[in-house]
Amino acid sequence: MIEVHELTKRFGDNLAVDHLSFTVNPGIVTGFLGPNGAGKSTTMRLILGLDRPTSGYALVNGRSYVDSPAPIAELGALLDARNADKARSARAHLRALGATVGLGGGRVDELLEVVGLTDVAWQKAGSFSLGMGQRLGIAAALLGDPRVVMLDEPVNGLDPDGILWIRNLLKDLAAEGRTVLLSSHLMSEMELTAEHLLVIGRGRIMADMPMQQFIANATGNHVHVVTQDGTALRDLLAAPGVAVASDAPGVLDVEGLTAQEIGIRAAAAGVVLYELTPIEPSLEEAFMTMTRDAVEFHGSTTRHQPETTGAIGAADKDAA
Amino acid sequence: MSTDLQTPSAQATTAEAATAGGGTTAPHDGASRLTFWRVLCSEWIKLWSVRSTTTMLLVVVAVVIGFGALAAGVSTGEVTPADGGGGPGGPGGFAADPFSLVMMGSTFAVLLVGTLGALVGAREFTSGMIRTTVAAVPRRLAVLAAKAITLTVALVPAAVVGVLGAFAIGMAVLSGGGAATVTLGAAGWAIVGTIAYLLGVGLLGLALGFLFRSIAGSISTLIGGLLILPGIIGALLPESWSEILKYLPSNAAASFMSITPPADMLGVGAGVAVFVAWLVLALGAAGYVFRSRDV
Repeated sequence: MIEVHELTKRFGDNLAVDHLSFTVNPGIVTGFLGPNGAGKSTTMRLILGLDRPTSGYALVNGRSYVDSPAPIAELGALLDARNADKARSARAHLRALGATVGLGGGRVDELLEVVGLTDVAWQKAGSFSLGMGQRLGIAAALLGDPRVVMLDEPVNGLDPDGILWIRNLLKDLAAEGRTVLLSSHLMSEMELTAEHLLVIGRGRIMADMPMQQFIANATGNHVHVVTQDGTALRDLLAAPGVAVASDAPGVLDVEGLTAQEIGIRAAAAGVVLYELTPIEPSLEEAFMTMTRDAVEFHGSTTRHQPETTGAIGAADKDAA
Repeated sequence: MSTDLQTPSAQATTAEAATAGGGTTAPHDGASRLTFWRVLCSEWIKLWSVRSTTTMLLVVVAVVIGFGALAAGVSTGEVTPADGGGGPGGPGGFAADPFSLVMMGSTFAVLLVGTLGALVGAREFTSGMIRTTVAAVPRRLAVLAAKAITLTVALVPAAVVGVLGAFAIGMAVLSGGGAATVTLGAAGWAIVGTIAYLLGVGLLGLALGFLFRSIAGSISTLIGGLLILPGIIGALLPESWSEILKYLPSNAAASFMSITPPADMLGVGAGVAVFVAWLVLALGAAGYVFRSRDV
């Protein structure tokens, strides 16, 4: 379990993480969503003790990660697949990591097999493609058989096979009762993998709820209809609160009525339907609806400008 | 076990967790506790799994012996008995006694050893590996200490073989050329001093690597500080200030790297003390900075 309490990190004038509080529970995959610069990676670095918090604290299995008796067996993290020495072989990289908790070559070879790097175990990490580097990073995260797994953009650079593999792997890890925190900007991937969502923007929690609830909360249920007579059906459905859009003749996208209501009205009027499909909004749509109005959310584009100049001003002061 | 932690009740939970001292979570099957010995093992694996370590150490040996033999050969017949003079790296420059002559190579080896130290210190910062390291070993001073110890242990054989080899071969060349030589017994402490200087410079490089977090920055600072600064200060500052020259690391070391301390340098005891002070200062600053900065 990961518990974050009032965690705050300030870089100069920039409040990267702003009084963040949440709990990541074991047994499910928790998705960490937010635009670039929202503070996801900084939060993960604070949990690991790589960055010192300005205030607040983070606990891993009930204690600060830096006090863990066997750190990589407590929490396995993938922050950036490039965090490895390019001149060192994949196997030696994992050997050095495993040695910190007394794990030897056997366990390392096991993990190399799991991530599919056995054939390139003796190659330098610098010669790896992005996807292979990612696999090495995942092997490093899982090496200590940790109870908590925290992965920042793990599918980056992975091929479709690799993406499917990591999706199932994370679900399996959660099913074994582990705590899994996963960040990704790929909404479709997140929707398939995570059961619970943490959405942050500008360093603050925007949503902390089950995936289903997050999607259901978002408006935008609509029905995809294909009909013989698009004009007739459009007239039939016209009412206040109902929006009908059409991309092609006979193809309608109806918002504000259920599939059942549309079917009944069409049958009554004798309009032939070829397709009648209720469309649930995707996570991406739900995310966009939720964030559309939240001006604060768009940290990296609109409101970031004055802060950037502020930071430069501060740097100038430091230099002077 | 962890049900009582379902709702983090702020300070109480932290305090409990802090005082529990590791009682709640046993390490997994296979994984054992993090200990300093295991950090040493990890750093040892890291040190030898990059090719540059072996290469640099072999070059150190070759350079110390090679230059010593070369210098002995070139100057055969021209040396005067050991009665003081500039040590290697000192402002005196070229050595004038047999011991300093055959240790010519150590001046060059200083560059290599310092570079190796800077590489060990800085390369993890430039590659990002340091984040993986600190995530695995959150006790950062243990990382610095383990790097310092493994580097020293790796340097010892190279420095010993290089310095003793240079002494034996150099003296043989001198003796073959009919020039004056010194015995191992007479040069004993100077040999130990030269080996210690090489180890110390490696540690200085390591400390600078942690301070600058850049390979180029730490190497140029080390070379500047050890080899260039003494000359510049000597040339630019008024004569009355030349006293401070003695306290620069390379000049302090010159006092214990020759059979008789050079006349214008510190005595052996003071030289050792000043050099050790530089080491403590550099490693202390590296530890302080490494502990307090985000990685």
